[in-house]
Amino acid sequence: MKKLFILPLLLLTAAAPAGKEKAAVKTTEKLADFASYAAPEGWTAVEKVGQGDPQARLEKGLHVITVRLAGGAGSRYKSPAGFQGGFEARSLGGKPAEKARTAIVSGARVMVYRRNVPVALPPPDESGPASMTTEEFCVLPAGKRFFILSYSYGDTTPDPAYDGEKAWGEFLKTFRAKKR
Amino acid sequence: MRLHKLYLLLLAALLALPAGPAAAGLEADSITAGALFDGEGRYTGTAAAAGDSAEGKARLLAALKTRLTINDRGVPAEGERLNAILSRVLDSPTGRQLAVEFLQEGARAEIAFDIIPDTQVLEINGKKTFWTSGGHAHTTMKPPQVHLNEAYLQAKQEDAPVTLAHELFGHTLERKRAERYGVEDSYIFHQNEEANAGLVGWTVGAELGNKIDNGWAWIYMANPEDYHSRLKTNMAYYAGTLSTEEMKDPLPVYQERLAGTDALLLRLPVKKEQNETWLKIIDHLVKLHKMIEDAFKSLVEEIKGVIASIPGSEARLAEIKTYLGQLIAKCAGASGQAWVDAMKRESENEYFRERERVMDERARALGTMMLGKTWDSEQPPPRAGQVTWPQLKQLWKDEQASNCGWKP
Repeated sequence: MKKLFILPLLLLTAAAPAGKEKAAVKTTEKLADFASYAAPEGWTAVEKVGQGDPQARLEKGLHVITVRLAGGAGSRYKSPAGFQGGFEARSLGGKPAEKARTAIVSGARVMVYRRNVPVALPPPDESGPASMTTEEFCVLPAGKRFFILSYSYGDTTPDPAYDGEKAWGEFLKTFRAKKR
Repeated sequence: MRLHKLYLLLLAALLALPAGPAAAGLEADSITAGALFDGEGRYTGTAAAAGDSAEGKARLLAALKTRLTINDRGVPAEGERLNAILSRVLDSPTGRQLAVEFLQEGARAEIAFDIIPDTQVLEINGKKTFWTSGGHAHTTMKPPQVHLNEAYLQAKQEDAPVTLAHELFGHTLERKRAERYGVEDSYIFHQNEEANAGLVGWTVGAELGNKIDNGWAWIYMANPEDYHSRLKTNMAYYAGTLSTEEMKDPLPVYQERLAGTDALLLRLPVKKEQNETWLKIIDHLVKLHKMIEDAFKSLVEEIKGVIASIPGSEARLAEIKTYLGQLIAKCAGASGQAWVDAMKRESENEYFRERERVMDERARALGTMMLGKTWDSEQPPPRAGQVTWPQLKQLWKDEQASNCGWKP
């Protein structure tokens, strides 16, 4: 059982006990049945299941783009609002993600958010610098469900040799939610 | 008989006290402390009484010191510092509560400063700090040894009580409890062994008014699963720890973790090269484009810190690989099966359920103290006038688009 000790508190339910979520179930759904997209040149793509959602992980080195279809029967999140209120849409420490810009994705204008996520921390008894990076994400409604698209670079030091943000921008232009 | 025991306890209390003028008040307190033990040497005081007054706290401190040896390594100033750190722990309600439990459990320990390899005291944004381990506990020794990084004598003094609480109450006291439940050989493989100590330290720190700037605390409080998952690639010991479910069948878990470690090792040379490239880029911007060198000071400090940390990361991952290999070998053969069976059996022990209950309670209390704070609010303010990463990235993009033609 998952425990979320601080988010319920941050959501102004200070006296409430720790929130409990049901364990996510594995889905048999295929992302390709719901969306089409082109991985940027030189990137690898792997379909995954986790958190109850069909997902894809596109990678080039530490550049990572994820595609996730939430809101299904086994999903941790039933609605975009549920996702955006949860810890996966917040910076380390519970701060809500910032609005970064808007983008057109699959014909719809969506807000692109930015949050700080830890990539590595020193051993727990040490207090060296936490390696933080930024993750950009957007939520694209798709009927009763919704896509969560994200990009991050997995190190606090940016990649001086490759513009992952540009690839992310191009990726968003290719993404299409299939009508079902 | 009773008086004789009381005398021995008092004598032990006096021997544990520091020499010098500061000891006089504590000696008087230690006599009172003796009255807090019953005829069988069991502690009878309460954390509430210790929190009511300075005298109450002093009595608890004196009682606690009957069970602790302060090893000053022949330097009286170190003994005084350790005593001050111990006293500071008891300014925290959780510290007092756990001190009482330490006494009731009949735990003991020796406390000393120690050299932690590779420690360098750095100055970041005008403040002395160090990035290596704050300390450790050798819980299987008799008595258990708690070592604090001697760098605390120079830097981060406010964090020393947090580390002491973590090691002394989070690890050393817990070992004693595990012995009482008969799970001392398996509890050390449970992932909550560290999480519990983490919660103790974070809570004591928060109660002392320290900033909650430990990223692990925020990660744990947001999502304990994420905390446990990240910790397992952080140090060899944690790589071998298991959830209660995983204790029932550890071999496939260890095999999967071993496979993941190589990928992390391969990443390190790339990380070093990228950081060195950014240093070259900054140097170019300063030397050729006459940008203000001071504006890059924070970034240069950060980059150099990352480069300096890479050999340590490499060593740590190599240790993780070795340790996981040893654990996989440990699961093999008849004796391995006996160990696996014991782990499975002991995963059902009440100790683990009780530990989780106490941890949940502590986490709720800590969550209340974290209300209204965020990770950002707990960070030191950045140095003024400094170029940030997004700005440097943009400068580099502009540079590449320009006619300069320079390449790192």
